[in-house]
Order: sequence, then C-alpha cells, then structure tokens
Amino acid sequence: MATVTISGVSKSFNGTAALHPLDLTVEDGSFCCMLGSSGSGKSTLLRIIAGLSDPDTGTVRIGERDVTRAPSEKRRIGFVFQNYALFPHLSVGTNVAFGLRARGIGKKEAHTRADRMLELVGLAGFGKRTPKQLSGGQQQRVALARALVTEPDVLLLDEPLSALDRKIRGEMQAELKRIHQETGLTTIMVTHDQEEAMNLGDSVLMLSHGRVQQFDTPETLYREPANGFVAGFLGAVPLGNGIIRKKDGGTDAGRATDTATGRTEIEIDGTRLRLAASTLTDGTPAEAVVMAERVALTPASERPRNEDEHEGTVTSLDFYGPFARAEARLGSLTVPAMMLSQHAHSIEPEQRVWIRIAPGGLHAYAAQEATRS
Amino acid sequence: MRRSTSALVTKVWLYAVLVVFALPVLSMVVLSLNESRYGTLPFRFSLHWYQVLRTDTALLDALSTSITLATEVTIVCVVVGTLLTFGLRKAPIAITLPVNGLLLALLSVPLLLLSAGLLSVFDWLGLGQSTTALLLSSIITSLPFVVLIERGRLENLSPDYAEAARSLGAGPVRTFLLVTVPLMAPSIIAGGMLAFVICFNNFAIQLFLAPVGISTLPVQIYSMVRLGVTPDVNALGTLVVAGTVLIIVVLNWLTGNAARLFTTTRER
Repeated sequence: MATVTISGVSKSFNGTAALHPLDLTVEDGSFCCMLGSSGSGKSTLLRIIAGLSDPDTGTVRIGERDVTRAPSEKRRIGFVFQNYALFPHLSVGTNVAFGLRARGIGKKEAHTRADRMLELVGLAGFGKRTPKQLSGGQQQRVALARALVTEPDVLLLDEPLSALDRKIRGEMQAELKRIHQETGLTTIMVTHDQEEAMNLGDSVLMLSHGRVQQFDTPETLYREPANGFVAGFLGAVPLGNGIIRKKDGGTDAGRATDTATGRTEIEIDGTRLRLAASTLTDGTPAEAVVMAERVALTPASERPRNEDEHEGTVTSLDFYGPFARAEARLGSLTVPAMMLSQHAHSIEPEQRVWIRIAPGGLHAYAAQEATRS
Repeated sequence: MRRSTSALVTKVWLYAVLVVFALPVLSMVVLSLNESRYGTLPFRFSLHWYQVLRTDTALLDALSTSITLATEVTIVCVVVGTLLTFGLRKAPIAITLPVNGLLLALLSVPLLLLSAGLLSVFDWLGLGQSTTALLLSSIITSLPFVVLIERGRLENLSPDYAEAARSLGAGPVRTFLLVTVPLMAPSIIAGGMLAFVICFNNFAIQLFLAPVGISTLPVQIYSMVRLGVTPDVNALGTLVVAGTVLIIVVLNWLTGNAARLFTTTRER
C-alpha cells in the first residue's frame, strides 16, 4: 500500500514562491506525470516527495507513513535523476548493488540481486563495465535498475528521458510502461513533454508557476482543458479576443431542435464560431484558442458548404514530414489547420476553402485567465 | 599558406619556451655527471659527485628533515583542508567571508613578511624558533593551496551523486565515505602533492623558524652556496628531480592523467 498523499505543501526560495500550497493524491499503483515548463515547480514538488528538499508547510505521506520530516534514506523511494547520476567511480554492478549494501545486505547476495535486476532491464552481463562505457540509453536503464532493486514503495523519475534522442526516448517510454505494469509500483514522473506525459500517465498534474492548473486523466485534459494555459500547453493556438454569445433554440429563428441543448458561440470581429461546452455567461469578454488538429479544410470547388462550415482562403501550407500545417483566413481571423500530409494534396495557397472547426476544437476562457501563462 | 606560417611560428615559440624552462634542470643534471668541480669543459662522465654526496651527512640530514617535515605537513593539511572545504560549503556567509579572506591573505602576503610576522607571534607565545613553530608555520602556508584545489573540484561536483546515494538508503556518513570522498579523491591527491611541494620549498619560513642546529634542505643549500657550491648539490638536485618525475609517472599510471588532477572540469 503506497498511496502518496500531499497536503498543503508549499515551498519558497529566497522569498519567491516556487510552490503555492497544494494537495495531491497519487493512488497506489498508478502512474502520475507532473507536467509543466521549467520553473513551474514540478521538480521542486518531486524533490519534496523524495526528501531531497524540505517543504515550508504541509505534510507528505507515503502509504500510512508521515515522511515529512524523514530524511531521504528512510523513505523507501527509488529516484532516477535527469542525468542518471550513476557513480562514475563504481562499476555498473556495484552501482546497482549500492542501495542493497546500504540496507545491510551482504555483498554476495546484493550482487546476485543486482545482476538479476540488470537482466530485467536488458543489460545482463554489463555488471563489470563502468558507467562511462555505456550509451545514454543504457545508463538510463542502469539508473532504473539501481532505483528498482531495493523494491521501493514509490518510484520517482525526474525528466528521465529528456537527455535521450528521439528514437531511444520512444523505446524507453515503452520500457517504463512495461516495468510499471510488471511491478505495479506507484510512479511519479516529472516531464516537460506533453506527449510523454499523455502516453505514460494514468493521470497528469499540470503545473504552472507553482500552482496546479489541472489534475486529470490525459483524455480529460485534452478534451476539457481547464484554462487557457493548459490548452496552450497542449498545443492550442490563440485565435483572438471576443464576446461570448449564449444562444438557445428559441431565439434562433424558431428552430426547435436546438432548444434542448442550446449552444455557446464566441463572436470575434463579427465572426461567430461555435464553442465547446463552456460555463461562461452571455456577454463575457473571452479569449478563444483553437486546436489546429481539429480544424478541417475542404476545397470550395469539391462540394457546397455545409451549415457548420465557414468560408475562408488558404494563406499558407507547410509540410513537416507526415504532417502538414495550413493557415486559412476567416474574416479577420487566421485559423490554423493540422492534417496528415496525404490529405493535404488538394489544398493550395490562395484557394477558397470551407473551414470546419470540430466541436471541442475551440475553447474560450475569460480574458484575464487566458493570458495567465 | 598564412595559416601554416603562423602555426610554424607558434611551434618554434613553444619549443623555445620549453628549452628555456628545461635548461636549468638539464644543466644541473649535466654538471652532476661532469668530472670537473667548476663545471668546465670538456665534459667527462663521472659518478664521482654522487659518491661525495653519499658521505655528505649535513646535506643528507637536511634532506631527511625536509622530507619528514613536508610529509607531516601534508598529512595535517589534507585532513584539515578537506574538512574545511566541506565545512565552508554549508557554512553561512558570516563564516565563509572571513575564512576566505584569511586564506587569500595567506596566499598573497609576501612570504618573507609572513615569516617575520610568524616569528614575532611565536616569540610572544614562548615557542620562538622551534620544531613546533616550524611545523605550524609550514601548515599555515600550505593549507590555502589544499583548500583552493579541493574547493574548485567540490563546486563542480554535481550534488546529484550524494542525493542519489541518500535516496538509495545510505546515511550521511556512508554517503560521504563511499561517494563524495572517492569522487573528490583526485583533488585531494593533487592538494596533498601541492602542499608537499610548497612546504618542501618554503625557504623563508624555514630560515626564520627552524630551531638552531636543524637545517632543512633549502636552508642547508643556501648556507653551502655562500661558501661556494660543490657539484654534489647538483647530484642531490638531480635525485630530487628524478624522484618528482617518478611521482608524476606513478600518478599518471594510477589516474590516467596527472595533469587532470589540477584542473576542475565538470563531471559528466
């Protein structure tokens, strides 16, 4: 049983708040990703959980134990550093056995267990080498083995994949997923890479400026970003500032079908766009953000315009290998559209197109909230 | 073309500098092997002066005094200097500022003045010119070098290693002995070597503070030179140089690169 419970934890450095008081519960056996840019407080929070940094206020519990004042070595954690921090003066095998030896296990047994753990991470027979003789990916596996061999209650990972190149990073993500599934270990990982967080996390804690922006499953985070910051971090692009227009079926030329649901639109420079569900009230000034991958462009010459589409003109088209990104002018707005390159062949600049923004692809946030970065 | 010309000039300059640096040592070696007492040519090979050296008890006693003193000073400086380095890292600025200032002063005050000052202090303390005074003064002048070198290394040492050890369940003492000290070892060795050399060469301190009747090597050579130098000093000098080279070679063999001991490159 190792649920990690954080209550009221805060921390400041030289009078500057790095973490505002926050609560967080990471369920036993789940994989939580703490996502944010540098300076968001995510590493500070991880170091507080690890006992490498003391919180100014609040408590940290691992399972039933209150470890707020316990030193790192008494917390039964495994910690993987961004730059691995393998001891350069010790062999790979001795590195992995270090934690067992520190817990008073005999040399022979410690090395037997270390060898078995190296096998688990795919590095059987590497025990005699020094860390410098290994590649980045291999060093990362050793760091993982070293953290896991002591059978900790919680595994803490501080940007473990950021120093690896793209291909190895993908392999290590799969490896982390496999190890998490096999061990069922409560895992908390810090990352600034939203794809990594979405891929690995059962839940994602989005942090900015020491405050929790959202704590949800990856899917909820993507479908219902809580504010402009979260949406922006997930790749949404600001579209412009406008006014919320609530619309219910009754006023819409007597069309009864819309009466039950109603709908929310945002009016920007005279253009009205349909929004994802929003709690904002009629007449509120708001900033709209759009997710480029949920915008579809259809050449006007192909078919007549559907009712949920707008007319626009393509202004640019760029290819990024498998993906292509276009921009289209809609009234005074510039709408980005991301599509698979294979679907981009019919699009070209200066072309008249129908623009469709999928419901849920356009979010609006009260103006001052959207600008908070 | 211009590039290769400037490369050539640089190369010639480098060799010229190396020759100028090496000339005194080389001439000493050559003179120690020359039969002539006054260094006159033609050169005739002889080990005569090495035989003379074997019977020069004053010089050999001085050498043994110097080595003993330098060894004792090195041991004290390494222990005290290492602890001081680690202590200073965590200490508040109210402590680090005056201590750093003092260390810097010890490095920059002319040794002759420092020696005179130390002599007055030890006189007041009733120690005067004594073995204790000599030992303490030598420690004082060598210590800053140990701290200087070790601190450079410590500042570049990532705190991740110690934190990793803690997270793996090692207490502070175990972490210090098994992780921090081994990672600091190159600079501890380098600091010790430097302390040894500084102490060995510290003519001013030794002249002022050594008790009557005891001569260290620099002081003994100085008093001999006043009466006219004999080539057995060259023979001794050659042996000392050979010993130094041997130490460097052994260190090179132990650590891979002795020159790296004195640099503070960041750990990967």
